[in-house]
Amino acid sequence: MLFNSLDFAIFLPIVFALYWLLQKQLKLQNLLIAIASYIFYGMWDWRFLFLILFSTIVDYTMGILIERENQQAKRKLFLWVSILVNLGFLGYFKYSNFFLENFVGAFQFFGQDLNFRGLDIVLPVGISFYTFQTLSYTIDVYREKLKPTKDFIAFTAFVSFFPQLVAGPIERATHLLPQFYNERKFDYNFAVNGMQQILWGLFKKVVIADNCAQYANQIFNNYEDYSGSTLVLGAVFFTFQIYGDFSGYSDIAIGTSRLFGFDLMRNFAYPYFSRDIAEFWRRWHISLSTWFRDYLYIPLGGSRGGMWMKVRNTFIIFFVSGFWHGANWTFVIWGGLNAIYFLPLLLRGNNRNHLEVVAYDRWMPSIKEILQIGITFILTVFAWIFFRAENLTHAFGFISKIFNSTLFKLPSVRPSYLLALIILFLVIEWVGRREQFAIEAIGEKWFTPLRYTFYYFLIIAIFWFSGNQQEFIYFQF
Amino acid sequence: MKKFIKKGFFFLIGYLVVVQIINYFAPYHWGNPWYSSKIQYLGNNHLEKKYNLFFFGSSRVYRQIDPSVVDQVLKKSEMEINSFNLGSPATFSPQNLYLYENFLESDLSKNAKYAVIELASIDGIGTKRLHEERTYYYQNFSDLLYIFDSYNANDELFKKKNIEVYFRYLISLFEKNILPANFKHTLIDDNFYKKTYLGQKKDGYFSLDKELTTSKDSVFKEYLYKRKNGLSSQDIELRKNIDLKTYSESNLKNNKTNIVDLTRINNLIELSNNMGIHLIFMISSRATSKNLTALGNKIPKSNFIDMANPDEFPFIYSLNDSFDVGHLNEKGAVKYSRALANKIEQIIN
Repeated sequence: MLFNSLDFAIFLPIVFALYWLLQKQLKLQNLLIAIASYIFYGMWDWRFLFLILFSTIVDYTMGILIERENQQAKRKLFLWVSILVNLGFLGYFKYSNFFLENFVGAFQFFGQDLNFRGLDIVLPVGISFYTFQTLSYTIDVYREKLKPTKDFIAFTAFVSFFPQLVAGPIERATHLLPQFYNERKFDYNFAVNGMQQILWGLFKKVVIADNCAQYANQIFNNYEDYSGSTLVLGAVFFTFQIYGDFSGYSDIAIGTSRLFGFDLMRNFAYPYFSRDIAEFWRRWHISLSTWFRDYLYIPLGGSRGGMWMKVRNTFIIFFVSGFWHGANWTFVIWGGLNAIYFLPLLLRGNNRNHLEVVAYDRWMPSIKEILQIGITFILTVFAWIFFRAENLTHAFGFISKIFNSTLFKLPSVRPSYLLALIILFLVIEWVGRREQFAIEAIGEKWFTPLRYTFYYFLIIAIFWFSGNQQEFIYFQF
Repeated sequence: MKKFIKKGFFFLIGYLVVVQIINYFAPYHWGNPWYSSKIQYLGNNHLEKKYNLFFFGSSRVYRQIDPSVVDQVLKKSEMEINSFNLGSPATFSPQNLYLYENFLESDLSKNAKYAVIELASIDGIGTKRLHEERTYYYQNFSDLLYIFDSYNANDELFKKKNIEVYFRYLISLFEKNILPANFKHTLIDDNFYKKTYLGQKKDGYFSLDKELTTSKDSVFKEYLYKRKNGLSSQDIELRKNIDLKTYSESNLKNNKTNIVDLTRINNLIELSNNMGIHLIFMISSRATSKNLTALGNKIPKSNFIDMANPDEFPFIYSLNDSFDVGHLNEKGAVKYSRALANKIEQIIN
């Protein structure tokens, strides 16, 4: 069920009420979370419940076996069982057809036509997210950063936790699993904060993302009919669509978790106010980039072993990150492009600048910062073209159509209401950039009716613009 | 937790108040596209045309009552009648009563001398029409309570079918009063207007035959074609037998009249009288039921017309005069309109 659906609006209060009625009965609370999460996931496709259950059983068992085993070789073996099962499922469901098609394509290139029809495989929703989450568990147990759990219900609840099951944030076992062992007390401020974050997430998803999607789809799907300037606008709309969609989902996930007393990691930190690509990647999909850093980059050697090693590892991470997003060369190119953007900063040792949010202690950015933000934004928009395109032909066709004389014509698609909404959205994000989410501190010192009026405005805007409902983009990953 | 629930409750109340205020001040948006088209046409032409007899109801009004025929018949009795058909598809109780009450409050009723409302059962709101503006635009608390009371008066409050109906009305009321879907339409959409909905003579009557031949919507044409060709004499005969049975039992002593419906009807009659309008309730052809006939028997004779009696109007069960199982064709509509006009004349005179 979608977060912005009537089903979820009915599901959440029921689970919330039952959950807090079971306060002080920790095991029952965890069991309720597990059951509710399985119901939540089963509404997508009940068949894949067996997959997530199997993955849960394997990793639970491997965690215990790793801890019990003294011999390093056997410990590694159990770890590899977990890795192979999880990545095996991911590989089969997500990448089988891609590899087969490319294999066939390679033969065709040499004049051999293999009679191949694609496999009819349905991608389980959220598989890329929960497999990485459970992998973090077994890897951390192996690294002795975490004791394996003997509480199967708590572990099941951790793996399937419905707010973040299908599109993240990809939680670390070291952060989320211990929260299932401890009694959760209802905290008013925590819950209110959660509601605010849900509201803001819904605004980003329904008002910004879904409305941008309408025009982005129209332009991308018919790019041959539009001028260069319209295509640029289409790419910008997609830029805001993917941000509103994905960060909106994360906000709803984090906010919903707070209603149940759980604290999830932050996943987005105003990435479009970044002054360089390195900062962008510290602020975009933080849970995934830190996962790759901790479980791929560092094991590959990380920043040790000289500049060549650093460059190699960086490129590997970006390519793999791109590939994680989808079984298509466009995602690989998107990852590679970001690696190219990152390279100059890496070579000059400037990839750790700008650790604080821009203009942290000021109201407005400096001219230099505005230029830096603008350039980073343009680079990001360009890369998103590959992310959005159906295939490489589409991507290159789109890009080549941008760079002609029609680039300087007025765009033929100019929804003024949407442009106004995007500006309003950016203003709110800018004002709230120092907070965990933009509206966290807005209205904190306001008169209550005024603060409520602001929230009512957001709610009405959400319902008002809810006619163009689109699925969350990241569900396809 | 108590503080959270309490604050949440007040927040929700505040939101409901804000939405009601916006709904109150926003201009009205007619969610029924046929009625919207007709009411706008009337708004622009009522002074010039001086319509004084109005028909309200479902497609059994819209597709079967030809105002020009009615006016012609009544003119022979030296009555200066200029009628207008405000019927629209699937407009049953309480929507038709709501529309009439709204009409009484508007300037359009100033010239009205007569009004005919089709007596109908409470609309069950099929699943296809749920969530449509056509369904939620007229929802209000008063009508919701009326529905409960009406079912209760029939001892049908807890029937499974009716529980589903309440749920749909509650959802529709929620959509109108809590989701700003309604005032979104009122604030940014113009009221719907389509000239063809007014009919060929712009008097609100549009027969199904004409719709079939003139419609540019191929899907809708196909649908009408199937309805027309699917009609058999057995269907008509079956309907006739049902109605004959209904009438034969209509005077039985144990036939209970729905007192809630009757009260509302009598109140509307009185209200109309006070405004100088003679209100008549009518049972349409092939639309009767035990409840409606029982109700009709209790409405004052000067305010009630029964157009469904098979003995009195045998043509309404003629295959030649039928379009489909529920409606007459153009030929049948002429006969029907004449018969109705005669009945109106008897009442008025």
